[in-house]
Amino acid sequence: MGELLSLRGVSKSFVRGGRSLPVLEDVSLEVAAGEIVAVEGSRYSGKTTLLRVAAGIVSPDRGEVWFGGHELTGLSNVRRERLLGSEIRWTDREGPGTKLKVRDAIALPLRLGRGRRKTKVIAEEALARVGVADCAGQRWEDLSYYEGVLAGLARGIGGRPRLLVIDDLLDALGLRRTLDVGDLLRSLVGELGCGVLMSVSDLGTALLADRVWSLRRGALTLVSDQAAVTDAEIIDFPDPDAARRGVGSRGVGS
Amino acid sequence: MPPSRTSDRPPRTSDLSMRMAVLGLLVEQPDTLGGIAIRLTRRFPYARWSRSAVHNGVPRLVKQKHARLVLEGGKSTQERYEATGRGVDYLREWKRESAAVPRTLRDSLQGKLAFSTPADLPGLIESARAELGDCEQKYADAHKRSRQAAQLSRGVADYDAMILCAQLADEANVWSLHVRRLRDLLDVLEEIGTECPDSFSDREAAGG
Repeated sequence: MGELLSLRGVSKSFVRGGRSLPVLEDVSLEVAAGEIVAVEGSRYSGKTTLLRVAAGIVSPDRGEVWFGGHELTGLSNVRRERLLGSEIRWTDREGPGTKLKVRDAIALPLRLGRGRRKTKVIAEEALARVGVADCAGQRWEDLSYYEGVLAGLARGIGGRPRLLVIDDLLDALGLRRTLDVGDLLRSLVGELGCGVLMSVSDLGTALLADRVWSLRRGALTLVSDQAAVTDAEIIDFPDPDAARRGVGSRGVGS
Repeated sequence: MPPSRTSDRPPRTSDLSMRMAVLGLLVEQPDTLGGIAIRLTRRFPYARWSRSAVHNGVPRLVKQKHARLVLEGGKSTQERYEATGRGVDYLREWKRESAAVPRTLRDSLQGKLAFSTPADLPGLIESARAELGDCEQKYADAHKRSRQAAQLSRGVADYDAMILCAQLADEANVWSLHVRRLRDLLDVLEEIGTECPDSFSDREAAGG
């Protein structure tokens, strides 16, 4: 897997009441094509700021953000906005504007360089792909919680981005829905070949990621890396052939 | 006289006993003591049952007539155990036990909080941090195992594979809850440490 996104020594502060509040301090992380990376942290820990910096929406005070061989911080605003409308897609819990119909809300940010009819087709295909084609004509504010999550994913994959940035969209789904969405997200990543950077509020949601970082007091620490599997973590997986034969199969390999 | 029904009833507890876990493994397939110990560690890696406990527990299953020894060859390492019909029934009844079992909270950190004095606060924080690190490591391990299972089970639509994925996802979820609890507790303890040092001193001076 090739490196797609790279944050190198990124710091970001905000000024409030004349005081500088550091939010990110010397943060580095990478996302490769085909992998899902989660950043976990409590509310107000700076996750959204980190994602906004990664997506090129906000410039860091220090450090570099590289995407697909380009340094985002060195690009003009116009170039960055173009990237955000095509190769990098942002989706979050807030949704794009409650009065819009779901189809239009997904189609609107795709219009740069595309015709109105074409973007509506893309939006409808994305909604069908995540299993909520029926929601195309509804207003975003009328969606159920779970429909909103799926429509949010559709909003992210419309236009086939190379990097999907998901802010706080997948929290509080419960284990079953988290696993379902994890399967869906993984199949989307497989189809698009994109990388995913997502923020989550708890480690339970991070289950569906390949790599999990924790953001605390402005610093990132690696919690789990699926790529670094040791012998001690090899699981006792059932033999599918034995299962088909109707034989109790677990533990055979021990 | 047949054994009384109540004497062979599975214990009602929220904890998984080692003997019940071993019985489950023997119902799946006959095995040697060494084989059981290995499978037990793989299936329940955080239960921390010792190998010697397995060596003591299996004969007790035999004594209760839930398992029996199947002699194979002369060496004890080749001796295999298998579940009896009574053992299979016992496990089935335990699995079907639907009566709610109250969870217990006998957590040592809870006890340390209850009996702490201001002078104990630094130690409490250190203790919570150490436990947090341990839980984060266990979450990381469980997360990897869960991801592994999800990868291996892709396209395999059978009960064993699906239930294993569910078990491992639940395992990671449990550790994530512990991590969250400890982080929340640490936030509170650290805030107490920064906001109330003077009141602590006053209480100590007053003998409180």
